[in-house]
Amino acid sequence: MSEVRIEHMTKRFKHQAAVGDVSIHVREGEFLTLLGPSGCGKSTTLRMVAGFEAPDEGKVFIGGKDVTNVPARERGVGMVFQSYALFPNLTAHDNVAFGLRMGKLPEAEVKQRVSEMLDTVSLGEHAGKYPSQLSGGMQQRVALARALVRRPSVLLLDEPLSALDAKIRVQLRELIKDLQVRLGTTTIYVTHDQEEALSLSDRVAVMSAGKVVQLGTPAEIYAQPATRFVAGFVGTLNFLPAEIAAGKAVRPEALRLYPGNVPLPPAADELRLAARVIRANLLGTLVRVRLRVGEHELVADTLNTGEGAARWPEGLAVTAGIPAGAVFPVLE
Amino acid sequence: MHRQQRTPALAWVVFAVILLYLLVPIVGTALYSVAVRWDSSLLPQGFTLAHYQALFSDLKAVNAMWRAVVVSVVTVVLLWLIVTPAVVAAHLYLPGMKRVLEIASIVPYAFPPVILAIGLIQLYSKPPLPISGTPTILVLAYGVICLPYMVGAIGNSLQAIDGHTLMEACESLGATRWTAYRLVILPNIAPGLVSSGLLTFAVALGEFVLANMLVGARFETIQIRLVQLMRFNGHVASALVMFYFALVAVASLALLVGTRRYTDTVRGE
Repeated sequence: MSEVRIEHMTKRFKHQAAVGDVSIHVREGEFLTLLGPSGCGKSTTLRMVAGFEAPDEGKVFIGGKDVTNVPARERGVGMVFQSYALFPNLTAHDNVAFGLRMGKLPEAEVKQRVSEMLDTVSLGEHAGKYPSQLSGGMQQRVALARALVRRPSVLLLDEPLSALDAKIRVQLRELIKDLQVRLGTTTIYVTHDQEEALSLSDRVAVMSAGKVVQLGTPAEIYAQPATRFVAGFVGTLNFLPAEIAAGKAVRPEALRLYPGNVPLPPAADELRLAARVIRANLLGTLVRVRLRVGEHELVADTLNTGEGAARWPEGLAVTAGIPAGAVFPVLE
Repeated sequence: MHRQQRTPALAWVVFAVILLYLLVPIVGTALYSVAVRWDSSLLPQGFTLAHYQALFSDLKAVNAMWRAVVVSVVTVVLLWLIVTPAVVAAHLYLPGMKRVLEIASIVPYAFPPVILAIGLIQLYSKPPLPISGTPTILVLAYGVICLPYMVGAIGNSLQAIDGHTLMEACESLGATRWTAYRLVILPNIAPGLVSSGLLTFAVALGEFVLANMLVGARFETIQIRLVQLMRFNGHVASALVMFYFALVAVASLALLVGTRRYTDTVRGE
């Protein structure tokens, strides 16, 4: 378990900066996520920490030691890949044992640690199976066990859930978080999925075009997105029309909707706009309502009261209330 | 909706025709090799093992078999040693070279053997490399014409396992490159090595034109002896064909078992 410091790291591919002057300090035991669209440099940053790519400029420190020129195999990091990257010729047990055997551990200890680790990821009874005999979710659990069994100083995960079904993805997400909390392993997680980033991380670094555009806790990133890009990438956002509040935005769930036939409650500290429903979609817990306000569109999320989308029929006249406290400024 | 599909009768007919097409020559040859006579009747007249006896007491034929086996095995091993590192290097470190390697390996294959043989003889009859007429040139020529099988098969197996990411996984687990090649890359391309090795072995064992022109009587191989035998006794020639058919079958089996053993050893490590 060690802290990771990335200092002024730059990587160019064919003269184009894939990562430009990125500095991040990942604290000991912290779960940090690099979040961004494809091509933003998040994977390249991770691969430089792993030692698969060498930075053109800058340094990487793991546990206070400069590892910039240390080969991947001596960095003691655990890596989990999007494609699982299990060894097809080895059983689940031998895949997990691989790293321990490289470390020349006595075979008795290898056996014990591997079977403990496989039990931890609930694959004890599949130890003898080959990767091709396991489902995608199971394979990724083996890969996770293989990375963690060596007790790595840092755990690196490169879009580990992207190849999996939605349901498995949520299960495995919980497992990753449980293990990380239990083992206290410093973790860097790469994803383009904001839900994963917000639900897993202690802190999130949002990346765009090779740079970190905002670094903060999930709550901070969500509540006070620093730029329009971050705001648009994390969650859904209403940018308010210039004539109402220029350069300001509000989250859909902050909006309050009052159907036209219901008397309005006494004006709290909120801005009220006359609106018409364009369409309502049931998302489950929430109903997402698209509204037309003059020439603009707003999105409001309301709790599902049991009627689902039917509560907001198309063309319904409503009043949209925007609480003053929920409006925040957003930089371009 | 008719989800339940019945196998159409035509599928069976097509299958049976193909099977017959493949089996009739082999069965015919097998029968001819044990027939006393089979020239003026529909079915063989009496059976005998005398032709096999004649074959194995023909010292020339036995020696020719050994020579052919040695040449074929050496060709396979040589190709494995040369092609495997080249294809692995191209796939893992020089992805742009994959196509180049594939195309380059096909070019010599496109030459008619007669042209290839004449060219080789002219080039290698004089210094610096006067190897014309020796088994060496035969092995090297076979190696060249079998290149595409090897390059293709090894390349496909590397593609299938995503060798690049597996190497990274190995490295992150503390393995050196050599260990990664030995424990992960090699076992996973082993099936490709075996299948292309078998193909090479069979092609080299059954090749006549190059053998006849490059070495001929100086180094009689099984095919050259077969052509000689055919001139005076078709039954013995058939026995020879059956024998080398069995040889290829045994070699296939041995290699398959060998691969499984090898993979098991790696596993158990």
